[in-house]
Amino acid sequence: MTTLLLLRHGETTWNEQSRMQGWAPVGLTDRGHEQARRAGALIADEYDPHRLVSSDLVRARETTARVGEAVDTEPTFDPAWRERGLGDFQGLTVEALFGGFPEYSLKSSGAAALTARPPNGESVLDVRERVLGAWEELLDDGGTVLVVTHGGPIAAVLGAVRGQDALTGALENWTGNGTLTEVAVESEPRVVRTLDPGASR
Amino acid sequence: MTTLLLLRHAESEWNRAGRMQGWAPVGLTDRGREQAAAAGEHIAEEYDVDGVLASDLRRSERTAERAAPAGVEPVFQQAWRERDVGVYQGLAYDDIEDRFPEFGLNEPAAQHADRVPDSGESLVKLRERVLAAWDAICRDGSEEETVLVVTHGGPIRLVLGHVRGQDLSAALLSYSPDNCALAEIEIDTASDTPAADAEVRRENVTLGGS
Repeated sequence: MTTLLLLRHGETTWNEQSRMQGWAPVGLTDRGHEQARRAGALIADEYDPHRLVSSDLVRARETTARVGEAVDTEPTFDPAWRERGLGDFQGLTVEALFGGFPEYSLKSSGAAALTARPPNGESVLDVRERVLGAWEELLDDGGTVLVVTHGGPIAAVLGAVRGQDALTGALENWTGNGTLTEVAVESEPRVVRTLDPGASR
Repeated sequence: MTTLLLLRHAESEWNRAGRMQGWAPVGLTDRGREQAAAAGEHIAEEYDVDGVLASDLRRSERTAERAAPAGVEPVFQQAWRERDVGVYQGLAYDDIEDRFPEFGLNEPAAQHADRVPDSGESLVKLRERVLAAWDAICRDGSEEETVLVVTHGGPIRLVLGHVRGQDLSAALLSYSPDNCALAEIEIDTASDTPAADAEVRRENVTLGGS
């Protein structure tokens, strides 16, 4: 059986400011480092991943480095696990982006927003396709794999695992910074549980 | 003789916040809107503008809409955009200078003018793009014409440096236009080499006060 663990990176300065990050090289806050450290401790206690795949963006790399203090698994960095590339919209606040450009808001524009591609960026469906390609390669691993990635990719994966359409998947599977989700793959993958070690003080 | 006026866009929200903008669609502050209107008044008093070209990025578009003389519709062009800074867009200037100085605004950036930021463009590429637009103005300019170009700090530095015969590094480091600063260049359209014979008449005329 394959066990897949999806860990969202710890809180960053831009998460704190509600600023859309895309591929920006933004680092973790003190809180984000602590979330990542706690996630690492929990993973070391409860799992034994033999493989660690991480997005190559700075916030995921920093999270992976913290996790590595407890989990002794050599990471590989894969751009397929990056967050959505936001192109010219990178750095706008959530309010400026979705208020100023409602055609990109899944909440206001529904399924039409799935294919809205910012100039020089990716659509939600572009990311879903990129991420599910990388995800499918892990399904028959046979062991435990830890994936350190981002909110968008995790929502895309969990939506697919739950058999939801792309819009429902993107809207209903948002996870917090430092949250760990366990997916078990037998005949079909299923979500086992979601843990938020950083929040449980 | 063609008179070319280069106007830097007015203060934007990210200018005020000290954030690297690149191609981000960021609007003007209240102060920026005042600067743009004041620039428009000054230009209308001092010049008889025949045409307005502007970068199609939001901050210059909004500036051009306020600064263009009545009856002259700005023509928006991608060629006059600021450098595309790719994944560094949105970072604070001091953060960039601290962690990624090769993509900032100071000497390390000038020394690495050929470096391409992930998903962005190099300073060398920016200069090619902007100087192609400059050459088109020199080539197509006619006698007694005044053209206003509303653009950004990078393109203005590169055009003025080019006219002065400076290399890219000197062009970037020796001059820094303020928001809504105006520069004036005379282009001798009768010359066989108008681009080479152009002359900077005025620079960094600050409009709109504080």
